[in-house]
Amino acid sequence: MIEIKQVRKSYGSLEVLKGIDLTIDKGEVVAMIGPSGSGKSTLLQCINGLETISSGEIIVDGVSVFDKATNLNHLRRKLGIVFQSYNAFPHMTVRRNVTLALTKVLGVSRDQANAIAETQLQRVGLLAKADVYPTALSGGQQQRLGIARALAMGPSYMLFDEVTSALDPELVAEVLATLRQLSAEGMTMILVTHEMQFAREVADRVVFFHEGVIAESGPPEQIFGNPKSERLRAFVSRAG
Amino acid sequence: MSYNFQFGIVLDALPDLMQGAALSLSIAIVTMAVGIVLAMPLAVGSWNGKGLVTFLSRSWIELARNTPCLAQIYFFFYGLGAFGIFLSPWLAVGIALCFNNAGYLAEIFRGGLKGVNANQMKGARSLGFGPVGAYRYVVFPQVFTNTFSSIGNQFIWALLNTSLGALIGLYDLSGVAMDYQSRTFKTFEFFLAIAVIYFILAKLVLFLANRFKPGGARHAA
Amino acid sequence: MPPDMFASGIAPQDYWLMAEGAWRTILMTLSAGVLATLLGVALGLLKLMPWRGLRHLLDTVTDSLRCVPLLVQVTLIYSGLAVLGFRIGAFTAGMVALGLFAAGYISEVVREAAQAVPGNLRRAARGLGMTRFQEYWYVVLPLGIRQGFPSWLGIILGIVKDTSVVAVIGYVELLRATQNIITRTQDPLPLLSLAAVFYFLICFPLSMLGRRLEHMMNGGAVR
Ligand SMILES: Nc1ncnc2c1ncn2[C@@H]1O[C@H](COP(=O)(O)OP(=O)(O)OP(=O)(O)O)[C@@H](O)[C@H]1O
Ligand SMILES: [Mg+2]
Repeated sequence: MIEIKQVRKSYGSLEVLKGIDLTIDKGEVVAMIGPSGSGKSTLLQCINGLETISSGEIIVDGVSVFDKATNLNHLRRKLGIVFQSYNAFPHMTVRRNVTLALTKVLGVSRDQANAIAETQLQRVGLLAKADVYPTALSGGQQQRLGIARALAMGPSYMLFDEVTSALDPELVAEVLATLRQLSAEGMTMILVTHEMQFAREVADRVVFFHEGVIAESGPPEQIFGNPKSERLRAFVSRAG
Repeated sequence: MSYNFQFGIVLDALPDLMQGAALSLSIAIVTMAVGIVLAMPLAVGSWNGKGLVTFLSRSWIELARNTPCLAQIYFFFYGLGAFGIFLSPWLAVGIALCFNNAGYLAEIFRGGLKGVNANQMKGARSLGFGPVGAYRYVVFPQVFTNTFSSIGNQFIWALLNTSLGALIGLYDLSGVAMDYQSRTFKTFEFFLAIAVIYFILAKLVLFLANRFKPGGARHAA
Repeated sequence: MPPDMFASGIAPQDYWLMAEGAWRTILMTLSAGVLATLLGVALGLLKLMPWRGLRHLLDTVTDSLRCVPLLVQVTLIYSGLAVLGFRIGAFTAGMVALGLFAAGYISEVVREAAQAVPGNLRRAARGLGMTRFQEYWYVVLPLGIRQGFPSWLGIILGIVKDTSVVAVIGYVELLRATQNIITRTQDPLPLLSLAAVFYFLICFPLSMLGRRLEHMMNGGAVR
């Protein structure tokens, strides 16, 4: 369970998150939508401590993320994250991208790591590309590599940050297929997305961000079918 | 012109010169290797460290870059005497060049660190790497690739700087030449010969560097 | 402070000797710097001319200068000129060696700076009816100087530090003067530190200035 309590965060004088409360249960798929700059990426990166918060608390499976005693490196293994901009490691092959943390962080043997990598690359349809360097991949392939890399660590939660936003429409489908499969397998996920149709289809709950607060949240039918606030209605109709 | 060139003497001295060259090259290689290892934390510390760490690493870098290499060698050879430490010439030159290389390389790496996208760090940290692991496995391999030719140039500098050791009695390539010239007074012949040897060594280093230059988009075999 | 600090035998006139050495370091830097700049600019411009053979020749020469230690070059020039029958002093030999060494680097800076001037600006100049000379004088030169200045400054700083090498042929600049005193007094640390401070005080501010200018040119704000 991920509990986000009264989280605030500022960059200098700019307050980006203004008191966020959100709880995500095991097995739940939560979609986060909202206009650009509303703080979605920031919140996602706060959940695994890549960004710090100004006040409030985030608790993952009973462990407080920003507690000094918490071993963040340890905690992050539970929380897979796939970034908005793809960030494959360009100096190693696709396979090594996946096995690196397995061998160096988890201490898995080379053979075992390779086996895990192959399973995960197979799952995202990249096995054929295992031995090329990421520069030789398309955007959609790089994004799927990011997914495989995160999944290989065996996380309990997956955080996806607009993994389709930088992609051409034909590539979007292949990444969404992977996400759909994951949700079917019961993975707990937080998805930041601009794909309303997709959010509607896979999410158990949709959270609408606006200017650093959660302006509205509820099941997809309610959010998309019967938005309460004017802002959400405008956003949904604009996003199509 | 009545000067009588005697390159025969140089030929006789060739085995000694070769030994000197081997010492010069070894010192360059070792001090570069140590320099690279030291330069990594220095670069990171001076780039986004805090307080004392930044101050110390910046001081190291600026001292190494803004005082003559020969003064650095003198410091380790003569200067440490004040603390009762007396180093042999090769140790003094070795330590001084490690200090010097580390300073220059750290400045090179600092530039390289700026060139590596911040997302790479986040990507590594998100997989559970600590800062050291992230720098070691993800960031620095990319810095090395991006700064490869500058590292090669620094290697040449290191090689040329070993010649300063001759001034404190190191028996490197220049030291051997100085020794012979003091006995034979054939300064020009000996220094022309070692100029050629230095040139060949430097070109060899550049050739090897080019040979093993990491490519942009590589494909595994 | 070691108790024998004042018993070490550093006399007041020793500081005077060091000051003299410092002055010679400055003198050598200025002379070699002027020589290197004039020669380097000339070589750089020649390398920019459309004469292929000449360019290759100059490239080979300046490139070779970078592959041989300055210590060896200084000694070679000093002894070589003596062999040829020219009786020159250590100062001249040092100046020539340092000047040549740095000129090679400056010629590269000149070439890169000129090539960094956008081609369309140069074509525009020619389009306005300027001659080739005018194109260089009014367009390439002012823009190129701005571009190349930080690198040039870096090379001049290199000369400040490299003057210490000229000691090998007996020119008593700062470091050699310091070493002479050390040999007599056997008290190296304070004197060496003093010498290091002298170099640092000259080099550090200028290298900061160079970095700042470079930063500005790369579009960043002055911090
Ligand atoms: N490192 C940073 N320093 C300063 N401001 C930042 C930083 N990162 C983000 N911001 C600011 O924080 C705000 C929220 O950014 P965030 O990336 O979380 O928005 P987002 O909802 O993910 O937007 P998008 O849909 O465009 O990805 C923005 O105004 C952004 O400019
Ligand atoms: Mg975002």
